Amino acid sequence: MAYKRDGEKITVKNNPLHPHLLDILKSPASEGLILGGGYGLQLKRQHVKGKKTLLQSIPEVRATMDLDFFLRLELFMDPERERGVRELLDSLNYRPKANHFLFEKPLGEEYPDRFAKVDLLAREPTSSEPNLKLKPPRVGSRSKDVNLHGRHTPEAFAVEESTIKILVNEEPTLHVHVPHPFSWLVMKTVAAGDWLKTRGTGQAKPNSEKHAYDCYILTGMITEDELESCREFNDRYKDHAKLQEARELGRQLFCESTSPGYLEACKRANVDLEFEVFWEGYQLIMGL
Amino acid sequence: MARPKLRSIPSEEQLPNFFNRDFFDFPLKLDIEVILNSNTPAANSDGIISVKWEGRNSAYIFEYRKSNTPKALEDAALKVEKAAERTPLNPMVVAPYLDEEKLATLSEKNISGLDLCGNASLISKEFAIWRTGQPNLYKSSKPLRNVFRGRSSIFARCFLIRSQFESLTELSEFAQDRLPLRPGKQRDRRLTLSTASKVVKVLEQELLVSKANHKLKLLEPERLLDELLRNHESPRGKAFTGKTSLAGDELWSSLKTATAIQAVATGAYSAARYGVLGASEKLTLYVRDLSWARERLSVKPSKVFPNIQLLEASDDEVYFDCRIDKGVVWASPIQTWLELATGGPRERQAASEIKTWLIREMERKSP
Repeated sequence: MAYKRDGEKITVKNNPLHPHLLDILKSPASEGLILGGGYGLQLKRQHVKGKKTLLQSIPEVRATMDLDFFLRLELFMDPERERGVRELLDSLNYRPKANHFLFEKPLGEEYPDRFAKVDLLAREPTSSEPNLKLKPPRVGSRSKDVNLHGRHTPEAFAVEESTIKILVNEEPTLHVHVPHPFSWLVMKTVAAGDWLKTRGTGQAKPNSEKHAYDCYILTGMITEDELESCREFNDRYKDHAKLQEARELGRQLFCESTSPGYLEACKRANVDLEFEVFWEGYQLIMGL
Repeated sequence: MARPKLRSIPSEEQLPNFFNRDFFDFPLKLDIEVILNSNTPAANSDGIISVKWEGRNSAYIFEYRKSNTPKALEDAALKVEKAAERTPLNPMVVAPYLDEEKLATLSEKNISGLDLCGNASLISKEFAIWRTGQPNLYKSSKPLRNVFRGRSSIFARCFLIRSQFESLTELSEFAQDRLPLRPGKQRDRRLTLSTASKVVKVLEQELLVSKANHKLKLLEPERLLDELLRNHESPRGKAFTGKTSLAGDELWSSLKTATAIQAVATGAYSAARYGVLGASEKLTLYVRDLSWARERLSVKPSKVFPNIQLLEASDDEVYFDCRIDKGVVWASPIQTWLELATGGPRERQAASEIKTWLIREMERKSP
């Protein structure tokens, strides 16, 4: 859990990112954006409060200063919508940092040395989407008119499907979509797998161990209906190479209470975790 | 901390030697001398006790009881009070163990109390001494170990359903009628007249039930409820959590057998039946035989959104007075109250509603 400089605990509502998220959502151009990452997890945790979830006690979600948005690929097939997103970021004074998929702006006067970052991501186009351009690490349209890309995320193959709509502001009413737990967990498992492969080598990304903990939180937050719908995902993608890879990584990370991913999650949590329920739920979500 | 080994209660004849020990050595040095009735002119009592403290001396006429039940102490207090009227001596009750509450009850009547564990309330013109906190060192002399727990508690529960019985036989039959048969048994001999008699004896000693001309009458329903709650223990059998595809009528008819009741909803689950809590999504059942119930309901083990929990319980009291409604076997109101009263804040609030209802029903049915 993070704290502001004055010692106040950072929650979803007082998070310095929150006004920036609302600024984006107020624009019609944001329609269809899917918020993943740590802030998406925080919002989902808030959303399931009082609902029946797999785990009764869901640990705190780590703090973040990033807004990780997945762009639906249909956006790149509609130049007007594509331009709308880029203009939205420009109008809110976000400056491009890399490949037109990473943008940032100062977080605010209260945080002079910190930045709000917007990371745009996208799944890999399928063979039925030939009009899109894939040039790793970028995904985008073939048109050169608009400078907007998504970061190529092959494990996000299902991210656009059955997203969960979450109310983030009542007046004005603003919603955001977060990924379905199945696609989110696949992505997080692959990210945790990267940590597993690179840990101790000096090549691991900073804070990459957080992904194992996020897998625990995502699993714990699932509702019964969401869990039921994971079957369809598993049927549909049973032969997908990325799903098979994620399943294998999942086994390595979590299959026992002494597995490295589970131990890492325990290390980051400030409460006792429940291995048996977690692992049974994880297997059902991932179709193991 | 290891519990000290309990001692046998000494007889009246052993008392003079008993107080030779240093019971009141520190911080209070008392010399206690016991003279039994056969050697004193204190008629109609067990004898005289002389207590010396820092050069002061007080004498007491005493009644000794090997039991410290409310009834035994009340009888002793009445008797010694009367005996003391004819002498200049102070009245005193002696018992193996007197806790603070019992000593206070005696003090209110101006009667001193002295136990064999080192507790005392000594009242006289010479001094007033109050010493408590020493643990009970003696075995219970009750005819049954605990009438508020386990199968014997069924008789106590009967008094909360009906406050009067014409005889022990009627009480015993009433209890048997409400206890479902065990599987494979045609007749049940668990709640015998002999057990009923022993239970009633304890309830009488506790001043919870009165017995006159064989008729039994509940005296203090609230205190009886408190005793049941204080002694309540959940069944300690195996538990199994999982999922079943059966629900409603189909589920309950799968558990049905010709004569016996094999399963009953727990008190916590039955709270919805009594309208004090909303229905729980997870059915929780006490079952006589876990394997049998698992098989009949095709329960698959799962900790992920389980919809059923089976708790193996051979304890008769959880099946006692169960209510069958459209095929569903619900826990009795008393069992429901007990489980809720030992639950979380929400459950305890619901329990207080059931308790109010139980007492109102008892008052309504009282002749």
